[in-house]
Amino acid sequence: MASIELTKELLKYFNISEYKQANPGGQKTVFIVTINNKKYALKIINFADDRFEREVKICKQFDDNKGIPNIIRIEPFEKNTIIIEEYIEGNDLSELIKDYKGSEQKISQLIYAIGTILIPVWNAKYVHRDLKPHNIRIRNNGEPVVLDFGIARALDDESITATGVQPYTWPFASPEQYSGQKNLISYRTDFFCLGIIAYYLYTNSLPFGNNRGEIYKAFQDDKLIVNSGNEYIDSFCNSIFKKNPSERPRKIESFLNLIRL
Amino acid sequence: MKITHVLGHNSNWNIDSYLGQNIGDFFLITAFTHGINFDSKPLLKKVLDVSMIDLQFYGKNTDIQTGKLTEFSFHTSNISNKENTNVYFENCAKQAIEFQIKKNFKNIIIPLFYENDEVNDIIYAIKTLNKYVSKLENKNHKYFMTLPLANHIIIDKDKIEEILFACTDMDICFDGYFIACENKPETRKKLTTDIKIFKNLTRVFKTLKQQNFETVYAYANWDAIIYLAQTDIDYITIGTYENLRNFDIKRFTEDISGGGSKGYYFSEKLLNMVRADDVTMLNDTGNINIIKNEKNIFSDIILKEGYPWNIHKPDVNKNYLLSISAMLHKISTISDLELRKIYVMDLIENAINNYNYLEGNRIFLNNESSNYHLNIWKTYLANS
Repeated sequence: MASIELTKELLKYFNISEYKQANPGGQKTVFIVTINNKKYALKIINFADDRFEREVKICKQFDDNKGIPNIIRIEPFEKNTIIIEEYIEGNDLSELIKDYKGSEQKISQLIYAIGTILIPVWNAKYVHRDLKPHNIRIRNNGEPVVLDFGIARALDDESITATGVQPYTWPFASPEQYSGQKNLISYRTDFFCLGIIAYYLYTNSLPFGNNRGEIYKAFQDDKLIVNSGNEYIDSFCNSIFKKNPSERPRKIESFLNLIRL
Repeated sequence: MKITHVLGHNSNWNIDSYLGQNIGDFFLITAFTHGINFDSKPLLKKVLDVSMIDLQFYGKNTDIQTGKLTEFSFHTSNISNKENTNVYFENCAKQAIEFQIKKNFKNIIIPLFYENDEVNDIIYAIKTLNKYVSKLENKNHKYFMTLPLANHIIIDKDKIEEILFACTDMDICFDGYFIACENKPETRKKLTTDIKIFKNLTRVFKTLKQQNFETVYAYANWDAIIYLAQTDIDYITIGTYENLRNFDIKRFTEDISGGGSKGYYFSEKLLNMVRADDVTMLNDTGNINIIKNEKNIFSDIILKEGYPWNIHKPDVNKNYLLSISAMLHKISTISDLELRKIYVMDLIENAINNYNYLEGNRIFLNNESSNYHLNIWKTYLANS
C-alpha cells in the first residue's frame, strides 16, 4: 500500500494533531486522525459520485444506530470531499477470524447482532450488498459495527437500479449477484451474505469455492447444500442458502428466528 | 384443503352434487357465466356463504368475448382503446375489491390481466394493489392476488422467480394467491406433458406455501394430483366442462364453443378421461371393470350398456366430480409429504399397469384416451 501524506493545510484546517493511514477502501483513502485528543476516521473522497452520496445519506439517516458509524463532518477541501466519521476502536472481523472458528455460540450472537443493526436499514428499503468480514468492525466490547454502505442499494431508486454492472465482493456474494440479476437484489441478498459469513467464521473456509470460477459453478446447481460439520450451523446456513431469493426467509424476524442464541 | 367447485355453465350439477352427495367444500363463481345478478339466483343463494367470485379480468383485448362480464360496470371488458392504461386497470381492480367486500365475500380475489406480456407489468400490479390492500381497514376478509400464469411465463424459470420474488417480499400483505396456469395441452390431449410446467408450477405452489401464503389452484384439471403430491394446496377447483378445467385465454378472446360431444368417462384406474366410444368398446369386450370407478353411483349409471352418452348429461359430469374430489381428498389427508408422494406414485403405477393389461388384451386406446401422460408423471415425481 502506497503511503499518502496529508498536507499541512489539511492538518491545520481540521485541527489534526496525529494521523496514520488505514486500509484503502474502494474509491476513498482513509486515515485514523486525532482531533482534540479524540480519534476519528477521516475519509478523502477523490470523486464524490452517487455511491458516496448514498453512503452519507444512509449513515445520516441511521445516525442513532450504534451499529453504523456516525458522520461528524463533511466538507469539500481543495479538490476532494472530506468526511470525518466516528472511529470504532477495535478490529475488523477479518482480523479475528480464528477467534470464531468452531464457536457456534459466538457466531450466532454476532450474526444476530448484525441482523439487528440492519433491521431499520432493510425496513427502509436499503440493502447493503457488500457484507463481508472486512466491512464489519468489532468494538473492543465485542459489539459489531457495519461499515461501508458505499455499494448499498436503495430498492426504490430507479436511477440506480436501471442499468449498470452490479458490484460485489466475490467470496461473499449471492447467486443473484453472480448472475447479475439486479432485479432480484434485496434484503434477502444480505441474508445470504450473512450465511456465508457464518459458515466462513465457523470453518475459516468459504462454503462454495475458493475462487470466482468455483463459486460461479456451484451456483449453477438448483440446490445449494453445505456441510460445516456442525448441525446447527448447517441448519441455519441451509435455510438461507437458497438459490432463489423467493425461497429464503421472507420476513426479517423469520431470518433472526433461525438464529439460536 | 377445500375442494372447490367452479360454477360455470350448468352450475346446478355442482351444487346438486354438493348438497346431495356431499361432493366438495367450496365454490368459485365465474363472472363470465353468472354476471352481476349471481346472488339473486336461487341455486347460487344456497352456497353464497361458502363461495368466492372470479371477476375474470383476463382479456385486455377490446375484441374479447365478454359473456356477462360487461354487466359489471367496473369490469375491464368495458374498456375502450383510449383507457387501456395501468391506471385505468388499477381503478377497475380496486373497484372489484370493493364490490366483493360489499357482497360480503370472505375470500376476495384481486383480479389481474392475463394479457400482461411483460413480467414487469404483473409485478407492478402486485406492488400497487398490495399497497392499496394494506391500507384497507376491514380485516375480516382474506385477500388473494390473482397470478394468471401465461404459458410463456410458466415455462420460464427466471420469469417465475421474478414473480415469486415480488409475491414473497416482506411488504406483501395478501393472505394468498389465486393461481391460474395456461397449460396449453397438445391437440387431442387434455393435459400438458411439459415437464417445465410441472417443475415451475410445483415451485410456485411450494414456495408460496413455504412462505405461509394460502394458495388456490384455479381451473385445475386432474393433473392437480401431481402438485398436491408434493405440497399442501388450500383450494383446488374441480369443474365439469373442459373450459372450467383448463385455463385458456382463448375463452375470452375467441368463440371456442365446440358443439356436441358424447363426452368422456373419467377413470380413477387409468387416471384419464376415456372417450365414450372407447367405453362402449371396453364394455363390448368385457374389459369395463379394468377402468370402472369404485364407490361411484354416477359411474354405475353411465357404464350400463345402452346408456345414451352425451356431454350435457349430469351423470357423465358428476362421475368426474365425485372421482376427482375423492382422489384429491384422500391425497391431501396424507400429512407426511414423502408418504403422500409415494401414494400418488402408486396410483400412477397402477394406472400404467391397467393400460398394459388392456394392451395385453389387445385393447389399444388412442388420442386423449391413451396413456400419453403417466410415464412422464412417474418420471417427474420419481426425480423431484
